[in-house]
Amino acid sequence: MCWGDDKGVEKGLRKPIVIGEVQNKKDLQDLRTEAEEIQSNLYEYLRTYIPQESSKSLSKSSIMGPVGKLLPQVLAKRFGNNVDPYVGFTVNIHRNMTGFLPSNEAIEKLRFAVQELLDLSEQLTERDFAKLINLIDYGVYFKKCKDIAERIEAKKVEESEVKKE
Amino acid sequence: MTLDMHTSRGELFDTSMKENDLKLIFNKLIDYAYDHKWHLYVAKGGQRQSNVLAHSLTVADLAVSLLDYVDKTNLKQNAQKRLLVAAFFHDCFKLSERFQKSITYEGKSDFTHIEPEKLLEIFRCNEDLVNSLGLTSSDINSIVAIYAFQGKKIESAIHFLGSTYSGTYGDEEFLSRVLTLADNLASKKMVSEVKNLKVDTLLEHCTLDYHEIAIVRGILTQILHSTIEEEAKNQGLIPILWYPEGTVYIGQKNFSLNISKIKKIFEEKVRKFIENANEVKLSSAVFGGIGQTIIKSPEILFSSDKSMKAFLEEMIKTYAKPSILQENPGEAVFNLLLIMKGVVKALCDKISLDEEYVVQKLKEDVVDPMNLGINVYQLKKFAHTLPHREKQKVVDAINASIKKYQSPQDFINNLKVYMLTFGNWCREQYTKNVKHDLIKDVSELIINEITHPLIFDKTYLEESYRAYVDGKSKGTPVCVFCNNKAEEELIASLVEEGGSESFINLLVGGSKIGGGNKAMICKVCELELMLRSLLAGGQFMFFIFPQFNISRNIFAISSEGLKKEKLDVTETISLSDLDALSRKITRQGVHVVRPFKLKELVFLREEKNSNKMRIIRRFVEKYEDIIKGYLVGNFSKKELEKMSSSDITEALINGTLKIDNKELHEELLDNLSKFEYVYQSGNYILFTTTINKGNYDTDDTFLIRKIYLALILSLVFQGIVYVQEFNETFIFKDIQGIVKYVPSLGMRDVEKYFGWKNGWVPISFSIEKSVEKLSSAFQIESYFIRVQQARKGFLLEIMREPVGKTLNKYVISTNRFSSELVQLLDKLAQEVDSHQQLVAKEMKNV
Repeated sequence: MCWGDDKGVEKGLRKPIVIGEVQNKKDLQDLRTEAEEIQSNLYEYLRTYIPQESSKSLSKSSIMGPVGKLLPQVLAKRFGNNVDPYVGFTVNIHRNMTGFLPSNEAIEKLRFAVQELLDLSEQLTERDFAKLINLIDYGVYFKKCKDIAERIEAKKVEESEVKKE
Repeated sequence: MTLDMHTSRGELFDTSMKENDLKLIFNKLIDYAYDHKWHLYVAKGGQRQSNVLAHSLTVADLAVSLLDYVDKTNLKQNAQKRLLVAAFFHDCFKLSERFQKSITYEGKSDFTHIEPEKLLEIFRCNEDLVNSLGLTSSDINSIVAIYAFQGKKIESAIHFLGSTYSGTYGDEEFLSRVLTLADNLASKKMVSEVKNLKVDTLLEHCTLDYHEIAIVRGILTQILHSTIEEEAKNQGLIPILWYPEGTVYIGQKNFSLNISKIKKIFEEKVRKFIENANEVKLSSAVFGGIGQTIIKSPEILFSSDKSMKAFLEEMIKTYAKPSILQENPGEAVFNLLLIMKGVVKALCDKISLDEEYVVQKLKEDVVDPMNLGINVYQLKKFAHTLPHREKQKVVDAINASIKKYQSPQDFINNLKVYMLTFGNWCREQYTKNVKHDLIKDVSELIINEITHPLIFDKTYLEESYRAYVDGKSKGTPVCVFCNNKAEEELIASLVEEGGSESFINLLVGGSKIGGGNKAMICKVCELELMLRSLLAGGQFMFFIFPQFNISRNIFAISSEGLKKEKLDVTETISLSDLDALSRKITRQGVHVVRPFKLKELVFLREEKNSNKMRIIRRFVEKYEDIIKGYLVGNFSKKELEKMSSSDITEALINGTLKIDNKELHEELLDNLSKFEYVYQSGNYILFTTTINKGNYDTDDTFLIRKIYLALILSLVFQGIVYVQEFNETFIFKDIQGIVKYVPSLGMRDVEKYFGWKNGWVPISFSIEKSVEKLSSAFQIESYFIRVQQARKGFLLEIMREPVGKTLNKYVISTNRFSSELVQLLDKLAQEVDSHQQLVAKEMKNV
């Protein structure tokens, strides 16, 4: 805006900067149980996600599937504070990758996790919320990896037993 | 190396139980307590904390000791055993959640719920323990009655005595009084609190007295402690309880000190300490490096004939090795002459002797008899100032004179004799002419640090304060370590490796000092640093203090475990081998370290021989020529001569060859163990060890490794550990936790993660958890190093980032998925989760 701008003349002085009191935000440490709950719900949902053979790999994006896509959307608040669009977004990716829709139970878990996440975003500062998303992201990933490692171990045991026989 | 180990008492147990039986009972009780995790419960709060196990052990031992000084006429059978068991269990109510909450969160002790029935229940549930201790049912009733009397529950006590109660309280009440006295005594946090103790009428004929030292500074304080203790023993007083700053004695009369006698004995002990030092370390402490030709600690060099001899012999071993002699004998001799020049300079600096006169003496004693064709006055220009061409001329001249001998070795042998003669002459001159001998001066000064039974010199305090005020305008005339009056400039080589000068900026802003801001230290600290460099050159030093106080018998048990000859060196992992330790801990849990406390201590069994092999190979290479003469085995002489150093190494490991030379064998053991406790008394332990700074270490990660070792030490020794290298004023009264460190910016996050605060690792947050977490982190780091994916400071990243991120990094960079790594990360995550919750809870309460 230049000085000769009409709009500027109309408005006169620029708006004063209002310094208001920021609401007391919670500490990330205090929300551990909530974070863990979200993590376990997302993990439970992810257990129902079995991608087609062609897209199976051990990369993080492959392991995380639709959840990996969901979390950045929540962080960016793509759909504001509305739960359904996020769930719909995730379910769509799920269907594309597996060829099936997730079960009602899984969708409920997903919905619960998204709802909780959006609630927490209100209680935390932006910086802390980004940290939380990061923690949940890697937390779910690690849980899934643990699951994979256990299955690998079990498979090895099975194979060795078969060989013995 | 140890000096003056306290002899464990024997005669006091002879009344009814032999010392071995007592030890056996102690060991059984310790086993029981470890199984029930007594060591993880807090018994005493505040700055000096103590866990239930350590406190119970001290009280039990103290109670049995005090029994020897009371009237025993009315005691019944098994009194000692009953008292011991009752005293061991006297704080069992502290294991309740209620007590733990009140002491951890409110800092108060809640003594309102001593329930004798619960103790009885403990005995009922643990039949194995009762049987192994050989307790009958009447013994148990009696023990519970003692416990009830001690908790002032007289009715309940009478109830337990049952049929045996006949109107009088038997000996149970009497024993409970002994137990209460022992508990009171063991619950004093400072040695000086003993004087406020109301001594029970039980000890009519005895008195309790103590000695106290104001500043705990290290080796010198230990020597002072043992000097005073010896004097106390001469006066018929027996030490019964040790604190880091003093000792409590029991005897017939009060303790009085003869100052001049203490000074004299102290001086003798310091000299003895220097004499007993390892030759290699002694020479490295004395010698500042061939480039500098500086004798950095002349006081140590000239302190005795033995130290002079050891130094010169070690220098010949290092600079005139057979391999160097074969290549260029002239240069070897040139270097030795440089060292002699250093001795001359050190002597002339310390006493007012003309340097030319001493050089003339050197010419007469060494250069002339050996027919070295050099101008001895050229010696002044040696070292860096001499151009290479000139140096070559001197070397050639020396080579020419060596040729007159049969072999260079003959030449060196002759030279050695003359060097020793000259060295002894120097030492004589030093003792005759020296005006201020450091050791003597220190013995005068250190007496001021005894605050009891002597009275602290007030004028000395005022003088120190005046010196401090003056110091605001010029340098730091107050000692940077102990705030005494500073007299010497701090030579950096005493504090750090390779430094030449040490500056410090502690002055008030705006002070004009014009380059005089060198760190200044007092004479006592100077000698302390010299002694430390004598023992721990290039090593890290940890001070280990008992968490609270330590009693005689417990000290005897723990010191026995430390005696070198008892250690099975060939099958152990040294504490400096951090990787092996962390592997053991992650795979088998911290309980692997646990049983070593008070029993076997410190060492864990080794999996591979790689470390041992490396040390033996280094040793064989060092002494290849000497060692061949002392090898014993099923080989002929010819075969032995043909053997290469690697063959000898293998044969030594297999046991087909042995070293027949006692000194060499001991040095090999020294090298093998790598674990050295420098000085141990009841008061505290000085511990030195090496930790290698890896290629991937930053300052912070290296600090974490040191903290890890400090944590293990505190686990093993049940004590507070202080890392010496942070040069702060150190008085024990300030001690709060396990290890003191200076947190950098990078360490702040790690602090949060581990629940350490303000540079302290508090005891209340379990050490075990920290140890297990750290060892998992080390393992993960080494996993990355193995696949060459680590980079500098990665250890810090592992501990700060979510575990999933670390795993993802591994998968991306290697394109592999590892179940083993997942397991390690899982362990780390579990520990972090549980620990963070605990920390958050505790922080909230704080």
